[in-house]
Amino acid sequence: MTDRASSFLTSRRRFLERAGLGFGSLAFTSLLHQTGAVASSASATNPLAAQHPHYSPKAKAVIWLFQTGSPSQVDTFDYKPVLQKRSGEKLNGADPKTGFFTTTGKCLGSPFKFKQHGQSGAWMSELFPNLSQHADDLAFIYSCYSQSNNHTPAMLEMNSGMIRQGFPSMGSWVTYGLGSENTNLPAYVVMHGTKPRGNDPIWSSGFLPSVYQATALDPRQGKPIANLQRHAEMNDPQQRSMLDLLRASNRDHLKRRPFDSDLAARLESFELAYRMQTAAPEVFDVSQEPKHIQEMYGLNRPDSKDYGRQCLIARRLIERGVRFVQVFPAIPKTPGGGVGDVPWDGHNDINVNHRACASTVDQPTAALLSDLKSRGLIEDTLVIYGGEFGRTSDSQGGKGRDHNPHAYTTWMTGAGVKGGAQYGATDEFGYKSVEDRVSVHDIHATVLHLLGLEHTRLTYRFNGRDFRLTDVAGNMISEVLA
Amino acid sequence: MTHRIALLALLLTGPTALAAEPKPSQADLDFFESKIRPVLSQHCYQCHSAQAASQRKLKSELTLDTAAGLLKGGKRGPAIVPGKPADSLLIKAIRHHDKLKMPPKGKLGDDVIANFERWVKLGAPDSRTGEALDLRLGAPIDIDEGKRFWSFQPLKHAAPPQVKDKSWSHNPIDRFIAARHEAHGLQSVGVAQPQTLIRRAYFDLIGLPPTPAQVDAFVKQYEQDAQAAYAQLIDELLASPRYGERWGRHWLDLARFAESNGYAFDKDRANAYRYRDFVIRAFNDDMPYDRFVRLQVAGDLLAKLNPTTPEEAQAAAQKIAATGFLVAGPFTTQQTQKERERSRYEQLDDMVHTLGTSLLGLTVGCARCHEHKYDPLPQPDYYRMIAIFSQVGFADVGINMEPTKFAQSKAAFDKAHAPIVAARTSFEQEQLPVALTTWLDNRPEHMPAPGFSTWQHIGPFPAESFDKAYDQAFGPENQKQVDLKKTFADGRLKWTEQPTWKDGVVHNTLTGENAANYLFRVVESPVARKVTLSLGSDDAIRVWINRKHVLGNKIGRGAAADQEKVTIPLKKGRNELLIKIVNGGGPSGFYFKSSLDGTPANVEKILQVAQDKWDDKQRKQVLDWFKTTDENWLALNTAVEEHKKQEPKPKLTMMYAAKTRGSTYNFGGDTYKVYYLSRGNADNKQGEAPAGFLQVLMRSPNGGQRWLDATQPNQQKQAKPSRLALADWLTDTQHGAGHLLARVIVNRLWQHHFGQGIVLTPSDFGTRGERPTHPELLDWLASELIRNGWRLKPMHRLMMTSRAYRLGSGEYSASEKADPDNMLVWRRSPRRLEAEAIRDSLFAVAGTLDTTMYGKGSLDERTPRRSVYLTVKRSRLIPMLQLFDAPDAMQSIGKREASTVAPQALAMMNSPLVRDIAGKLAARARPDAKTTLDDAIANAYRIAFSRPPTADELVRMKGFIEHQAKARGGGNAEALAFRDACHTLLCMNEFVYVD
Repeated sequence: MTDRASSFLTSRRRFLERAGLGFGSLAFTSLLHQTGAVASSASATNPLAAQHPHYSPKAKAVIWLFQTGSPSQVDTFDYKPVLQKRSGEKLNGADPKTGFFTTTGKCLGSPFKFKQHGQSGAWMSELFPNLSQHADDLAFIYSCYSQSNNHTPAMLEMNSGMIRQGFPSMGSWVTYGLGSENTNLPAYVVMHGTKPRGNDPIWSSGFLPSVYQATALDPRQGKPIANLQRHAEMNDPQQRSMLDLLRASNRDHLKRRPFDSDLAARLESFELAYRMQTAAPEVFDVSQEPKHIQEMYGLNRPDSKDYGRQCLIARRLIERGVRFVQVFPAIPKTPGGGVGDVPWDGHNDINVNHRACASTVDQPTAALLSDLKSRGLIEDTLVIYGGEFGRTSDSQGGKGRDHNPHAYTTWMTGAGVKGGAQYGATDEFGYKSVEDRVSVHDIHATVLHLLGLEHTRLTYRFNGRDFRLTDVAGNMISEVLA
Repeated sequence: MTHRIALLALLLTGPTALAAEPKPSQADLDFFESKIRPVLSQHCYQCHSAQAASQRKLKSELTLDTAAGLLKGGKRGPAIVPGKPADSLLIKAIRHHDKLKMPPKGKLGDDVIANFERWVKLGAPDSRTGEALDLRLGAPIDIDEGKRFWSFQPLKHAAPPQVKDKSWSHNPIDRFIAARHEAHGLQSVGVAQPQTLIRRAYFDLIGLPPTPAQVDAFVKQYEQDAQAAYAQLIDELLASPRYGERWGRHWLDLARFAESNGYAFDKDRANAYRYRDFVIRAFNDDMPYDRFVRLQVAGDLLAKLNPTTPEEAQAAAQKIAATGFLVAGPFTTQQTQKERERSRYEQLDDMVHTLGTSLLGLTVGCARCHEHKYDPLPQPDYYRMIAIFSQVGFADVGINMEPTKFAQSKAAFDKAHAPIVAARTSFEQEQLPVALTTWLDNRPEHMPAPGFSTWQHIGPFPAESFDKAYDQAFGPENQKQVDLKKTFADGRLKWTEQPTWKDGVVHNTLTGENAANYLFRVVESPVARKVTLSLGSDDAIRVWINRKHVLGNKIGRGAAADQEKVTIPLKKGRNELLIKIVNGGGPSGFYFKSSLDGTPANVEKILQVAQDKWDDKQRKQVLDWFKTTDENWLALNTAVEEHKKQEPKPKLTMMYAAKTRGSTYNFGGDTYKVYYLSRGNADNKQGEAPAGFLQVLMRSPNGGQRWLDATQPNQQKQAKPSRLALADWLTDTQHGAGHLLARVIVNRLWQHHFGQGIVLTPSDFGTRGERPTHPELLDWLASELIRNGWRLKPMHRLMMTSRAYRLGSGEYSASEKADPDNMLVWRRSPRRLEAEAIRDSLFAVAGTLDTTMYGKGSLDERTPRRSVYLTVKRSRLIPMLQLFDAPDAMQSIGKREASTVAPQALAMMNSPLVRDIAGKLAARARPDAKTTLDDAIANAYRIAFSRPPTADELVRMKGFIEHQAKARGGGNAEALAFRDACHTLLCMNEFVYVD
């Protein structure tokens, strides 16, 4: 039996190792201890302080455009001429219980016209007239698959790697691993319209400390972040006086308890909160943007104004150092089977559903890419676009498509991504991924890698087990990396 | 054998010969035995053998202790290619030329390496047989070896150690602590001030601050007799009902308690709060911990489901509610067929994982896909553990809490009901046979159809309520004979003919809410006969034929065909059919169709034979049918049924609880079975798993049977429910898991009292967890718990009356350098209050805390009840609690984080709730204009911090208020400034950190 107390001198170091903060921050903290500077510097114990990644990162920030409800791969990016040709015929090997309901087993050709785009010749459907202009910047992964054929578990898987609730989402893992570049804003922001099916647990921080939880907001609301506004009965100098009193009192308290760095951190947190009161509303105020930028994002169109605002805010956030932004598109019209919380869910009529959703999504997505490019932000920013699974190649009803966990397309662009790459393939009907199949863990491993994190080393000990975002799996997809 | 011959052999014997290796010569085998095998054994087996695997020391999944193992190889591929030393990884590794150098401790001698090269060249002759270890099945775990780990050992009964400075120790705990101080040369700080002690004790035990009056009284007593005052304080707090609310919440963290399903749609569990109430009550009643555990895993099996007294009912309800523990985990209602089986295993995993971490501090769930990587938990143990719960589902279970009262009202009803039933019985015995004979005698050969007149309608007759509209006999019902000329309600209601009302369709044309309509028609029948009516009604219906009440149904519904069927007797000539339709709200209407198929085929067959030839069975069959066509019997029967509706129903108290064969993910015949699954995959079943326990926690010659068999007084063995067996095993301190169970819970108590556990990882007592800082103390405490009959309150008392608990926090000590994390308890570390305590304190200092206990909760965080009563809805967690690290109720949590983030500061600064509390605190501190500012400030400090301000603090506060009042200006400037001062107090570290 090891005597715990015989090694208690090392416990602080052990704690830091456990927290996965890496050697850089450890050295930093130790130094502060030596100089006795701990009490005066909250950043030493600030768990959100920027951390050193495992190796030199390609990307500093992520914008994840999560197309909930799941767009159909064969109607968007995964062109299947055989499916078109055999439309109405029996789909060999089709399992009518693949999805949530029952499908007909008969091929449904895409109602959309496909064309090749750019040097890479990527096929894209007519749903994306704007996005297709960026074809050469996108890396398509055609061979994704998910574990569940049901929205909530599949969304959980896409965000946390697990189909069960209670595990940290990727944004939380990344914040835990890398900290924040901007102390005045949250590190992990989720923007949603109608919350996706499954609600807040979709972006849960699970067992990670709540420091790493998402700040979720609906930019359509007047006050997207809670408690950000000072009381009406108080002005700035009056609040400042209170904070000065607070600071003096907390310092006194701290002086009598010099060993407890948490107390110093809490003292600083009020100063940060004070600064956030100004910084946060500013970032959400898109009216500060010139008119041509607003229009580029489609803020002047009823279909795309909400999602356009989400995309524009996403850019403003990462511009200010926010690490991880996840957008759940606010799509005003979702005919053909979709609902607010799963807009792309075209069970009844893929044609009308996808036309409506794409009318919302295409322009702002393309605008975001152009905007990031023109500002040079794309060099440091990874953009991911995809749903939680795909849709069946055979029809549901006659015009709709059911859920399909066996195949869907995800694309990435930006920092560290090989533009124009095309990875993996589905069968000739787009029904199942057959070549270089890509699991959600693989996607996660790749994204972490781009952020400079080795997915097997980003661990957190909970209830006796070292958990990873990629669980016990995950292979980096090096073919889509620049 | 030459190549040519080998090829020939292959051609002759076909593919099976492929497997047969050429048999090595004895000389070659001797070479292996003398030159190779000893080297492998000495230098390699330590990391590359089945034994290494069983000791968790296997490297690179490579075993070298069988011939097959060498050929199969490890992670890097086969270890040898027979005949080709240059291609053999093993040879490369022992040469130490490449990156891979084996053995790692140092290169083997050149002659040894040459031997190995020669051996491979010979074709690697090997006399060792046996299969290569199949690592997919996991390396075999050496359970006996595993049992040697500290936490699986029986409790060691160590006497408290002798210490040099005897005066330091207040109770035995201190001697354990002091011995370590002395051993490491640590200097502890002094005992804290009484103001600090009372605040600490209050927050620790009840999670609320003491009032200034309580502080004053305590300090005064403390000055007279510190020991007595302090002991009394602890007793008072342990007796407070607030104690269970505080400590129950700690348990709810472990139980991942929530009141909704989670996942999509997050359905509410309206009766789940009963488990929360059970937990609070159990703590307040100081229920022995072993019983507390037993009830949570098997309470429903121990409960008397049909209690006869209120006491029995209470006991049963408590036991059933306790099992909410098992089924508190998430459950998804939206499932496709394909997901159900997998989800069921997830659900079972949630139960066992929660049980393992919360009760035993073991990560049992890790053995789901493979043998546990670190702890001696083989995979089969996992499946036997989940098999214990194979029958468990959830249900809202009801218990009649007032059985005596119910029995009384039931007896009264039975008494009134008996004569009504008797009337029907006597009619059936006496008159019915006569009526049958009469009918048979007059039964004509030809039965012409009756004629129905058109409908007459009158209504609506309004009433106060639906019930009254049904019960009250309005005009048409009171007449001896229906008089179509008669009018009602001062002539406003009269009979009208409805020639368009066709039979066989629904008519939704009636009107009125809580009102009755009457329909009437005359039926002319050429002969006495029967007709069957199919009826529908929106909502209730009554039917009379010739004034005899033959049907009544008080019900709410929309009208449709065939909702009622009644066969009515018609006499020869004119018959009067009266129907009453009663509507509650919305549309109203009816359906009517008659048919002549009066006699069912089976009865008709009997009727072909003369009556005196019928046997008893046939007679009964005829009478059973005949009575339903007899107007007198129908009237009597309707009376019985109408009265029956008044039968008292037990008022059930509903509890969300575990239930044998309750609801779960249903996927057919295997729903309530558990199979061994290879790699945790439900598509890869390896036979059904029987219930069983963790081998490493069994000290019994016959394994789990000791608990699984119920030994009857006559020594006859029989199986008992596996959850009861589990309860026995968990709490068995002789042969089962009882010692570990005790260690884990005393460590949790210690953790909440001292800020960190003796084992720093409270839910992991396995090999990956921390070792205890004071192993002897932990075992001594666990023994004390068992000795005290598993009662927790004596343990609180023991811990809190130790000197170690009472140490101060502020002073500097040389010990800081040696033990900065205070692992050896030489001072008190200030602690951030938990979310619930912060929120409760806010209401407490405002003077508005509502101490109503138990019952349904609320989702509104402004509700001034204690936070433990706020509803835990998984998709709508209470924002303020979430902000301060309250768990998300998905998994068992043994140790909360105490994070510090800006949104917490924003909430304290800007939330309307805190601002409102600040105003109330200000009003309490300065109740009237006579209170001076100095006094008001002092009051505020005493309310918020349990102490008066220092002179410096007073000056600073006054300075602030003066300045702030000037800045604010206006009539109530000073009041606003004082409110700002109070608001600032709530934001201070001292408000949320307790020394």
